Amino acid sequence: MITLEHVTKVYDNVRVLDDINIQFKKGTVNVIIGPSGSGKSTLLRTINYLAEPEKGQVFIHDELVDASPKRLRKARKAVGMVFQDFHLFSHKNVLENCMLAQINVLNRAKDEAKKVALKHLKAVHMESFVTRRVDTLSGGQKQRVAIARALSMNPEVLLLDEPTSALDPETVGEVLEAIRTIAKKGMTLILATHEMAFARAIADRTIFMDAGKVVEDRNGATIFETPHHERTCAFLSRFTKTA
Amino acid sequence: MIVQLSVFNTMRAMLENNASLWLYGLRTTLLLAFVGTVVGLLLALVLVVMKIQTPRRDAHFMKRILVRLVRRTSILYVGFFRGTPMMVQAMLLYYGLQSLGLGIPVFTAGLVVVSLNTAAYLTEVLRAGLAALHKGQKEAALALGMSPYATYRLVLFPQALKNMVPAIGNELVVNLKDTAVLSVIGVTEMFYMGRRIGSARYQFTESFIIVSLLYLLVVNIAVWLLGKLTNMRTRRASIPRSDSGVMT
Repeated sequence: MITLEHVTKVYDNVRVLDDINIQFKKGTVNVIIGPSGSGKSTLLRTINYLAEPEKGQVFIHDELVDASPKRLRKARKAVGMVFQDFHLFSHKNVLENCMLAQINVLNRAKDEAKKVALKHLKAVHMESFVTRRVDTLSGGQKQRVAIARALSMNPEVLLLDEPTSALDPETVGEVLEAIRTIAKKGMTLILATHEMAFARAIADRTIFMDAGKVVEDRNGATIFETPHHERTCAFLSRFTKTA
Repeated sequence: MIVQLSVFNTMRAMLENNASLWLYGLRTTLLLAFVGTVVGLLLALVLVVMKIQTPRRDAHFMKRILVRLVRRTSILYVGFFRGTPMMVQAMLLYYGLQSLGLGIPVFTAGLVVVSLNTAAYLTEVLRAGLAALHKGQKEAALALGMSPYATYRLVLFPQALKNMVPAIGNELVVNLKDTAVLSVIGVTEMFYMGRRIGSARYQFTESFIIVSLLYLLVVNIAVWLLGKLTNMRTRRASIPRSDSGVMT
């Protein structure tokens, strides 16, 4: 379980996160929606402390996360992350991308790391690309490798920061399919996305954020059918119009 | 025509009679440039780590001061070695140590000067190389649980160094030529040998034509080899590139 208590993050005197109090339960798919700049990505980044909050505390399984190297490493082992722009290591091939941190952080033997990496690459249908340089892959392929890389660390929670935003429409489907498969396996997911149809189909819980605050937090996908808050209505109606 | 033939004959005689001296000078120049560049690169790795340190706002007061001191030391180092001529540095180091009773052989002094000087320039090159990397590379490594040290060692430095190959090549070529200034403290490199051989019969024109040809030869071989290396690297990376990016 992940708990955020009174988390506030400020960038250039702007409160990007404003006193956030939220819990994410084990085995649930949590979808965060909201306009650009609402704080979705920053919320994910405070969980693994890539963004250090100015105020408030983050707990993973009741253990405080802070800047101390030992606690930070423990937290980051438990929480994997997939970025909008993939951030694959450009000097490594597909397989090496999935093995590097396993060997360095988890101290796995090379053979074991390779076995684990291949298992996850197979799960995202990238097993035939293992020796390819990552800069020769399409966006969708890169994102599937990034998912396999995160899963190779056996995290308990996976943070997905707008994983399809940098993809062309043709490759969005393959990434969403990979996420759907992970969700079915019961892993805790916290997903920030603009893919409303996908969010609706996959969510155990939907959170709407605006101006650094949690505006609406509902079970399942009910938020899409009966939004309570005026701001949620406005946001979702804009999506319906553009869709 | 007669004059030209006489110059050519003098040069040939100069080469034949002093072959061992020329080879010794060439060997010294090559050693100073190659070893100096490698040692300089290793020092630059340390200096750039010192330079990119930033104190955490919640760190202990003493730790913050220490981090600032480390950073400032690197900045001052780079500033000094980039801001003063290598000839002056050589004089300061060699005679400075002598005056302190810590005299070292001229070759060692020369090698130390080339290494320290190269380190200062490559620190800036490496810093720019690291700054040019997308910050997402660092974040991805940290998010996977890697320590800052492992992040630099396994993710950031390999990428920055790969992009730095042409710049390191340029530094090597500069060093091949700039070692000439070390003759000021008596390092027996090519320039020193040219002056020594030419002074025997006051035939400096001939001796320095030979010196020029030798420099041209080694510099162009180095440029050619570095070009091959860069092309190999770019072919592997499947990025078409027309030249080596090495300047002379």
